[in-house]
Amino acid sequence: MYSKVKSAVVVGLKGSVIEIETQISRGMPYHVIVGLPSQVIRESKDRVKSALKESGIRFPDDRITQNMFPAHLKKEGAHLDLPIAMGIMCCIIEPKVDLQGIGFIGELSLEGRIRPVTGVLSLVEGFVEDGLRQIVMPRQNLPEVSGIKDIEVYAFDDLNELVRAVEFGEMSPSTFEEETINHSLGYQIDFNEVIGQNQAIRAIEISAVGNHNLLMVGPPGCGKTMIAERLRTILPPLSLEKQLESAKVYSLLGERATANERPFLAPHHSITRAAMIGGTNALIPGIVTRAHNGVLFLDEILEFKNEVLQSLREPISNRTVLLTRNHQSVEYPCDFQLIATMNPCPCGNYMAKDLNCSCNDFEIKRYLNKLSGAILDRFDMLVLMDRVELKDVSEKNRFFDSEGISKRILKAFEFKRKLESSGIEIEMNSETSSKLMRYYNTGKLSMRGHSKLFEIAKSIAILEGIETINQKCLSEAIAYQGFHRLKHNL
Amino acid sequence: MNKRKIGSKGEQLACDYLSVNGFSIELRNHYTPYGEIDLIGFKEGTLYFIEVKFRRTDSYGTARESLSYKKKKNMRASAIHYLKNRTEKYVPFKISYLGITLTDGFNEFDFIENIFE
Repeated sequence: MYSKVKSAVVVGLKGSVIEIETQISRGMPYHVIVGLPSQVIRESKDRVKSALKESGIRFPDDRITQNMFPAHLKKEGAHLDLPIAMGIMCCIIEPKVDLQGIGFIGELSLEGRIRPVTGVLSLVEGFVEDGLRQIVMPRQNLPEVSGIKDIEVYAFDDLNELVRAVEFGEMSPSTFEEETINHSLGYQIDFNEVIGQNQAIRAIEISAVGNHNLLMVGPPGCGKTMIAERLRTILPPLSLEKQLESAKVYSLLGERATANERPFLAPHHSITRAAMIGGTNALIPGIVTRAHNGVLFLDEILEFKNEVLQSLREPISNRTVLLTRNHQSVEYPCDFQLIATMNPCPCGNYMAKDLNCSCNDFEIKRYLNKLSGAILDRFDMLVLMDRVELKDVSEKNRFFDSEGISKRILKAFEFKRKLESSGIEIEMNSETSSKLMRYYNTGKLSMRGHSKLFEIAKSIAILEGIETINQKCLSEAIAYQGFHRLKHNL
Repeated sequence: MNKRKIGSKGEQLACDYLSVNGFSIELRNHYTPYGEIDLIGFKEGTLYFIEVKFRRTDSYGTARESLSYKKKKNMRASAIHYLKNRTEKYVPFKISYLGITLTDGFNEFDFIENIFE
């Protein structure tokens, strides 16, 4: 007796289809699974046995050999329970459906229920790439795949139900219940609570348009963190395509991504390198990958371990991270916007308007040198903040509120899309480009800095809704440059 | 009926079944230091060491399941012990299993030639 069913495994974020062959021959009871199974799959033998028995199916008392193909791929994950069980079942019963056109995923409980699994989106994508359009999956995973077109999903709760459907050929595709996605992201916080610091709010608005990395420097309590936290209230919603990308990452971690909201991650500074970048033997994606298409916020960046900060170098510039462990490597996306805050000196009051700094030059220098030049160069924008003089405590910000800013940003994004679709490149006029040249020749910019300065000026132009970068845009962009300003008195 | 009697009844059924199927029974209940060999049969130039399992119900696990790893190991040791003391020339041998399950008044025979395959 022989059968062949199809399933998939996840390698990195990509799904890859595998075949499970089952052969049952007369002999003493024996069940072996070959083809590089992991520990979880060896355990699944017992789950499958119990689930089949509890579903009222007589587990064959024979010699069962199962092979997973291709043999070189490491088979990981409890979602192979269901295909393993179906492989055995299809040897016993005569299936009325074409098994070669169906992909099976699902975990089994001992009583024969089909449990939800992680990484469904990647698995389904693997099936689709392989040309499999019919997918059997746990009912609880159904909402996750509602965004994928051209597939027929058969959702089941119970193994017995599924076996009967396969036996009698009575499978009917499940329909997606239209999920009510909460589009109004009701935040408790708003930019109008920030008093003063208008230049910093303006900077964060620009950074949101162009996805620029921003570093905020200022004395303690001046509102750096407050502003950074409010960034999430103005971020534009994710496009459908990007939503799917993020959802894949979160599905791999066994979580649901929150609809069209951009991820905003603020890890504590005690984070380790493996947690930040991803890793461990299982090659789990790290915080940078979770922040894909969103914001990574490092509060008090100087308190982070140096190795953690240094390991951010490539992810920031490459937008992907390639992890390699145990003869395998996976590539995860990490296109995030980096927002960070820090104090300008150990006491925090250096360069503040009416506060006295108690640090000496050497201390400040040592403090600032914690942040290496390479990391610093990856910040496109730097805002120096200062204490705000308070006139009225109950005062609200008169110039900025989240609603207004997010409207402007949405408009900027539309403008950008319009320019892209009509093929117009934003350019500099000649005066401005000669000014940029002069600024570059002062030696304050790296080549990367030069192109980034141009990008910031471009973002400002987009925000203003103009097609050429004028001197005003460039001057403002230059204002967000210059860590050297912090150091030049020392 | 005590367990011993049930066992010997099973073995009698097994003998009948095997004789019908062309086996000649050489020995019954042969004891070795490693345990008992229920039946030793001979068919077409091959010696069969047969473990007989008799079950009246499947409620406590099937007959096949009741053959543990330890039992299999002992069966092999017993068979080798028997062969060493045998004076005739070498013949190929197999260690086999015969399960008998009583279902709806009928005996169901389940013969596996080689349990190590």
